[in-house]
Amino acid sequence: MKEVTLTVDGKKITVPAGTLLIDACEQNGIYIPRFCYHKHLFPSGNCRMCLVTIEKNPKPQPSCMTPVADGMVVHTNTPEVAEIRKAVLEFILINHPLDCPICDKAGECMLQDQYMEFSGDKSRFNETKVAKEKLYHFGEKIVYDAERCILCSRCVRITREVSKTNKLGILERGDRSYVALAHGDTLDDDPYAYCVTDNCPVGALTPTYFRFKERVWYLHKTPSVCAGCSRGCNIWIETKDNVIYRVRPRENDAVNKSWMCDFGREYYIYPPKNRAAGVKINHRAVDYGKFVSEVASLLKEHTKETAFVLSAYATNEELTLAKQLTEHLGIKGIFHKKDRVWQESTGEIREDDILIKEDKTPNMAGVKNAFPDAKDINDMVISDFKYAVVWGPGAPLDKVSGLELIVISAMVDQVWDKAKYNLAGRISAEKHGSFTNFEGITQDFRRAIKGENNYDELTFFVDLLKELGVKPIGRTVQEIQNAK
Amino acid sequence: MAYQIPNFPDMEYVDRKKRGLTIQVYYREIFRGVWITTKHFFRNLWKWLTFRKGGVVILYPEETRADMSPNNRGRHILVQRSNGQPRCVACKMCATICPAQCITIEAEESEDPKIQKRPQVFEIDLSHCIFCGFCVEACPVDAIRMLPETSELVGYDRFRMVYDKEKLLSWHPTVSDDVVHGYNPNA
Repeated sequence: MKEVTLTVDGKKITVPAGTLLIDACEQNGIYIPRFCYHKHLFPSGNCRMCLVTIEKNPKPQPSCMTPVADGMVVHTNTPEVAEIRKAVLEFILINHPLDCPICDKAGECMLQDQYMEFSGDKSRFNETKVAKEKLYHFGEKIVYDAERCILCSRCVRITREVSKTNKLGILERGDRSYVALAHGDTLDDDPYAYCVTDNCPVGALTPTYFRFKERVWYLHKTPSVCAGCSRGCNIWIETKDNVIYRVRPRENDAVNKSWMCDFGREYYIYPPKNRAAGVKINHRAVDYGKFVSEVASLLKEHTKETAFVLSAYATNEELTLAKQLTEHLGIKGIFHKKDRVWQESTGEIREDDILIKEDKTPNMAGVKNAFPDAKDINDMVISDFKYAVVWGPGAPLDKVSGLELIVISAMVDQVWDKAKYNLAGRISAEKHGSFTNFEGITQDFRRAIKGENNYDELTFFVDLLKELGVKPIGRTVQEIQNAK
Repeated sequence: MAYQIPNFPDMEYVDRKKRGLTIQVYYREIFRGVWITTKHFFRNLWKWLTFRKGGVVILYPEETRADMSPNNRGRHILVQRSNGQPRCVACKMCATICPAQCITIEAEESEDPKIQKRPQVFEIDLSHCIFCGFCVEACPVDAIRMLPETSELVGYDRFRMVYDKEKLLSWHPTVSDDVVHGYNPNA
């Protein structure tokens, strides 16, 4: 691609032709303030916060709408630009209600941050502010506050370009403008509706699930990977006191850009009721060490009659240890299953061409990488086996009902109830590890919350291998990743 | 391709100095402390026996101190609106700035769409409070005050030192409807 060279603040930078000036500056370490511009949306150029002066140009230009040109000389830190930014902020703040104390965005608000950085002026506005609708429900998911809105049109562009539902639009003119839906419409059936709240630069659009729950500066962010489907969207899990308060997409151009679907968020925010707990033999709670030794002796004795059913929720590191275990024992009957399949009754979308994939498990590709010979559980011949290690929920009951079961699962289902040996596992928010998504991209994630009365599968496999007298490949995620 | 999360090394946060023998053997300091209290006890006893001033403390609760400063920061009160609701909008500024972390607030949706947010739970643990007054300064709506009239701090046990919203509103009722920060969209 053709490259152009331009000068920004006396620094020569070289970028591909066609890059927007705001991107070219950011790639070279010069941040230009912005409200309406978003990296993954088509530029709109309406907030005017990114105005810069270009030599030989009579007026300041919005850098989010200006492609770079050869020999351009740009200034972003002159007194003139500072004056422009102050004036733009003063204009935006004329009708802004300044109700930061009750605004959920306070603390991560772009308007707050940029006012503190670029203006800091006191208000000169003595007239009455324009009163607008303060509580406008865009359906059950999202609340809109028209007074706080700075009309950057990011939300409008998200519904047009990302979710392609075209639900939002800006009505009226001048200081009476507001974002609105068509009459009687809601955002509830838009599968990417919460993205408008993440990308709202102010607190105009807030999700109802997080409304007034916690102030954002108390939340602890953990990088994680969504386990809702095989796309593997990068997410931040935001927690306080071991409770997940909010889930937001983490930017990754290769996987999910800045977006994630609402089902993925609800997967974390509304924890499932049927979580498994404890370690049991014959439905009676036992000591964990006793469980490990009994399972180890059972597997050792009945190696040939044992089926090993893998979980597509397992991390790559757990699968490495499971592979070591099955290779050591010589278990031949290895099967994989779909832990979660799409059900129409939940209202979830089966597949779309944006992010949502049909495979609703996060690590099917990792299972197939680690165990290339594993067969589908539906091809299992039940008469070959007497025992089965069932890992993860969602095993078909007719395939395992006659067997003596060892179930390691985070969820209670019919197979869990039928089992002789039960060990409660962890969901992906409760453990370290990595998932491989359907494109073959392996992504690490870290533990966000502590599990309650359940056991890390990784530790269980380490203990099982030790009980069998084998040195495990590694005892932690880091050791296993380094050993690979 | 994999997104690598950096590993944080374990750090030693506290720089501990080695103690000398004179500090390790701390009996000297104990006896010095005992000597100071004993000295004051006999000095006050002598004053009381000879009817001098300053010998005896105030007989609380029949007597209370009269020389309280008007700036004294007493126990907290929550200011009410004229309809009896708290002025507090549950913004958690006080809980954020509190150095003793003794304020617990949980917010809920108010029926009044102009107010929007109000506290469902507002608790101050006065046994943790250090009476610095930062919460009063941080409050954007003048909802929490510390008055000299309410300076007494007594309780039978530490659990009764946790004051909830109803108690903070009612035990020294103060009503104010002043607009503090100038925002009133429908005025």
